[in-house]
Amino acid sequence: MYLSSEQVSASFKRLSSRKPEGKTHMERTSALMYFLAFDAVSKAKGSSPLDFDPEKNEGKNNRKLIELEFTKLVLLNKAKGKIVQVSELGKIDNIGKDPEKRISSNFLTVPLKNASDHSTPYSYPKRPATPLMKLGEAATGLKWGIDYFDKWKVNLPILLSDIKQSTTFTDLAIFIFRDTFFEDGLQEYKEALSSAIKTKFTSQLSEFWSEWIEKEKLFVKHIKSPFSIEHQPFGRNITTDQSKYNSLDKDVLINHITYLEDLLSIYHINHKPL
Amino acid sequence: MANEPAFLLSKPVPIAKQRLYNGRKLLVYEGKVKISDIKGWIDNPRIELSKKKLIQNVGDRQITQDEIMDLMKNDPDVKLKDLRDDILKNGLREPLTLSYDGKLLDGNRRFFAMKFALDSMPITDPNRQDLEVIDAYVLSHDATEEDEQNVLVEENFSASLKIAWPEYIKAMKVIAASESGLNPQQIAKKYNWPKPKIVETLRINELIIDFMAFATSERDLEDTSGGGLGLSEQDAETVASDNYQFFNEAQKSFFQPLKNDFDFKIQFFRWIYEKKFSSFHEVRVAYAAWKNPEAKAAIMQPEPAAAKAAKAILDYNARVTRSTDEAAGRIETFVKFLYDMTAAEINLLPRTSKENLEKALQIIIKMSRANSD
Repeated sequence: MYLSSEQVSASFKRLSSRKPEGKTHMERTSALMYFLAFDAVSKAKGSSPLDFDPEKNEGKNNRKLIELEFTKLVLLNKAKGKIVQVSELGKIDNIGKDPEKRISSNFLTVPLKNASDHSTPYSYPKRPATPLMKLGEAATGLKWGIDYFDKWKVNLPILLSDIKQSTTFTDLAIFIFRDTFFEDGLQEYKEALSSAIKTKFTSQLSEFWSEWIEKEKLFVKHIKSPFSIEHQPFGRNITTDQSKYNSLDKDVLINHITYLEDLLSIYHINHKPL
Repeated sequence: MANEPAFLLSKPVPIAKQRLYNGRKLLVYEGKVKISDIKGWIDNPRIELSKKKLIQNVGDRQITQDEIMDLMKNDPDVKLKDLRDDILKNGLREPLTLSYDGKLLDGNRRFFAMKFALDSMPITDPNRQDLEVIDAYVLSHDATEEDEQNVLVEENFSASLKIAWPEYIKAMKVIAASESGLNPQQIAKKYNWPKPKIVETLRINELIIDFMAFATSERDLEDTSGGGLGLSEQDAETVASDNYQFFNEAQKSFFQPLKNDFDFKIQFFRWIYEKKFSSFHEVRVAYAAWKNPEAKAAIMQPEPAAAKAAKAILDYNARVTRSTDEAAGRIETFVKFLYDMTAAEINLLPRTSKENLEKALQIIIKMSRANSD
């Protein structure tokens, strides 16, 4: 069984920021996703720090792995050259660049490159000052190294504190495991999520995350029947570029809606008219 | 005037005039209306919570005017009896405001107080006629829904000598506007409140949503958290409404800790429910008390003055009087406190307390010896 698309959609919306304007939530989402991708690679490799030296084979492999993990976390659909992904929790977009390129240029190139040149310990993210990772030789012992920032457990909830709803870790897990198959025996959402987290992430992150899910249970009112027998991919159908409608006149939009609704009626396609 | 509403009495002749509501000039008719032609506002947000309780008891049906009057009479915040007595003594000081179709936009409390006054007068009382016809402003036929909204805002959100809607009720209007997609700036304009107050209201609402979720969760004594409070939606909402200003204080003083420290959040919500706080000052120090072992132990006590005691401890510790005399005095008091402890009391102390005491004494001894060497 899978998490139902209704549940994923409800949880995903709850991850929106209380400050809809500005880029803060987008930057924080990126930092979170880089961290989760780094942790997933650490789990696969069985240790940290990890070396991301672009001149060495191991570094190149780790770069590929982290790009892959990041892509799995944020990519919703990629078809006919159109990318549907999450750049900011709570919002789906289809205008950004390829996730692999995003992490490569925004994280592996700029901050990690900067850190590799630094003689003092370098941490990420810097804004807000809630680092989750430390980078570079002074901090990790490896010129292109990435490791856990000592206080990441304190900083992670602060990094996510712009999210309005108070079940952030539960909703985040539901979003991350949107395509995961769960054993039929797991009826309870906490058990299912904790098990999935443990499979994908390191023991220190999974223990921390599961503890938060346990604490959040008293505030969970939006999870009634979270599972579905069928897999209903989340966000895959959104391929329309909505931005093109912004400049259209109301009359043009009304004509277009009428045309589309007529088309649906002619072909007896069930739909919900406005 | 052909466009006057039918329920406006023709004598004295109504006067058309312009009045300012929430910064907008509106055309109104000033005249007399029979109180029997007016219907009280059943959906008045002021009595929303009492109404929910009534519906819980009588089932989901249309509430009658008499039931609404009973609710208002019995709600101490509405102070209907005080207003009735004032009206009996001084008459209606301020006209009511009605929409063109007779809907009461402002003066619901005055309207029910008038009815209350009429009910308490013998039918033969000659003074009844003074109350049976009242002064009113009636919006013109051209008034829009937005105009009616402006009247509501002016009369209920603006500061005046009248009893404005309770803060919680006003907050719910702001939240509804936010949920309909308006941003804080647009809501500020709609209700004529400053933007920071709107932002503040939205933050208070976040806490109240959390409180409601926690309060309506089942109690679970087998769980380490103890579960929720097991309240019904209505009861939880009543607690939230009664403590609205304490939530506001919490929002101002420790919003982030409430978002990041779940154990504290749950405890704070329990304190609210247990009526632990009797002043804003006590709420303000709740997080500091939670982080300070001595103050925490004090505030966790079941006594009514527990929060006051915790605040006193924090205030005392905050005093920066580090003179030798005071340090010596404090040590003396503490030593006396230790000597007064019985073996059984010492035995009951948590291990960490004993370890911390031992550690502190060893450090003091070492530092003292190092200095004398």
